[in-house]
Amino acid sequence: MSLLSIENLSIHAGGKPLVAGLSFALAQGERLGLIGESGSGKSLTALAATGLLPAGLTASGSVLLKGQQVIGTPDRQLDGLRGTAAAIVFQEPLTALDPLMRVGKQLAEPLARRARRDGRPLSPRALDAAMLEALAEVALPDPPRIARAYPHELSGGQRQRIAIAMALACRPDLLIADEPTTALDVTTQAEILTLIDRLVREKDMALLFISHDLPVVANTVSHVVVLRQGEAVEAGPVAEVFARPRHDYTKSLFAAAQRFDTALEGGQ
Amino acid sequence: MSLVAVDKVSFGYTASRPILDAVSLDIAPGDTIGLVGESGSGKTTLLRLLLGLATPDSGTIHFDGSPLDPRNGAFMRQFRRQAQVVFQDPYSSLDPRQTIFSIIAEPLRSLRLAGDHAAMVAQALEAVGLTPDAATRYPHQFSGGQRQRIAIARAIVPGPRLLLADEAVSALDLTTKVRVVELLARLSASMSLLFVSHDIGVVAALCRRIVILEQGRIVEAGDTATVLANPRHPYTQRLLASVPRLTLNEAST
Repeated sequence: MSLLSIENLSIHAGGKPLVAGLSFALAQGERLGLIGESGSGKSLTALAATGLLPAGLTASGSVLLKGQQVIGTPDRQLDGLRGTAAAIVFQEPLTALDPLMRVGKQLAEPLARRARRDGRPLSPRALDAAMLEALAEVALPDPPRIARAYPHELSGGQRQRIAIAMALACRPDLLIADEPTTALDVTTQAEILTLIDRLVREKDMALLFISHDLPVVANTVSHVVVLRQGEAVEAGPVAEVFARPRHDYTKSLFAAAQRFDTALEGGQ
Repeated sequence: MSLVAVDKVSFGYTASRPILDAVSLDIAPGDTIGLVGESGSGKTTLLRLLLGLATPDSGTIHFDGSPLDPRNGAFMRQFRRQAQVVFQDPYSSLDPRQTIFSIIAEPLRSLRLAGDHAAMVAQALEAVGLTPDAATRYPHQFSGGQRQRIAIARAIVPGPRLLLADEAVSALDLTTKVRVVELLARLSASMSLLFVSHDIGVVAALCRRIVILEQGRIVEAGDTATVLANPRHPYTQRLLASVPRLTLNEAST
């Protein structure tokens, strides 16, 4: 059974369609990339998958997350799925983290929540240990020091590691990463991509990876869906789509990416 | 003679932490130089010094043979006409309450340049590939790429000899980015271009020379093709190795 199954999803703002007739499915351990430029509806799709669409946007069609229909289901019922079925890492870790709370305390919140939900609440000491372990898992050096820091005291890459640790705290089956490296320097990006790759593999999670950056997607996922103005124009295994893009839009995206790629290789 | 000569320039916002450390850089007329560095490397600070928006703690900057001195009003007026800048975010660099005509004509007004402003604006619009009717519209009616073209039109309207671009294509979508890079390449035929970017692929496509900045120091500089083919400094090597490529690596497929 699919972990996430989206069928004929449409999202409207008033009368204006933002996503139209989108369908894809993702099973445990699979990695899917949503590729698109700004306004393609890729982030809205991620929000719709977890029932987090902002007020004013309406979704129709079907989103099944771990067998539960997300569209039209009240938040109270979805709360049980969030974090455990799917967790999201956003683009900008500085706005995703609370600036007034030490990162250790922020990270402890979802850890405590998951433990309570599983019916085995953690003692303060055990929670502290779990928090430090979670920091170590995302390869942050000196976890006790990092735990005491506020977000502004950390670098962009460190902040994104915290955001990833928080997403993993509930041990989700599906990790949704929405442009997780776009705000980062290229050397930091390489580190974070390696980290996501390792964690997804180790924990056998499914990955929904959203990005406008083709080279980044190329080496992160196995299948892709190319979105343009809310519609899927092409989908398939990444090797196939990247080797032989069929749709004109996909071709133009590739020509653009290729341009900078070949320039780097020394051609003009 | 160089158009811009930066000689052993150091600068810090606080005394304890230097942002730029003995940076030297020459920009020849007609040169296209890519200044590459990650966040905190000091690339924007160097740009501010080149614009005369800050003065170096030590070292000198010469423009066209004269020292760049922000207190020398007469010189600075000449200088502002000849050195123009394009910023990263076209959503914050254009005044939302002004028409495109008024935005592009702004340097002509503030530099008190003589001539037919309407014709000059029309010419600048054409040079960046926008239609004349854009002049009567407002920034919100344009896409990100079009806004960046407007910002470029504003920069080139006084006929500068040096165009400074600070991450000018970083906020744009990939397909738009290619077209704006092509525009900058075309414009660079008639002026010097200093293109500040963290995106080494764009620099490779646009710039003849490359300068790599790491924590306020130039660690490597030279002909772009040569540096990319044979990076000598470990930081340049790490930077290049980190750039994601389109080629699928076998392990992940």
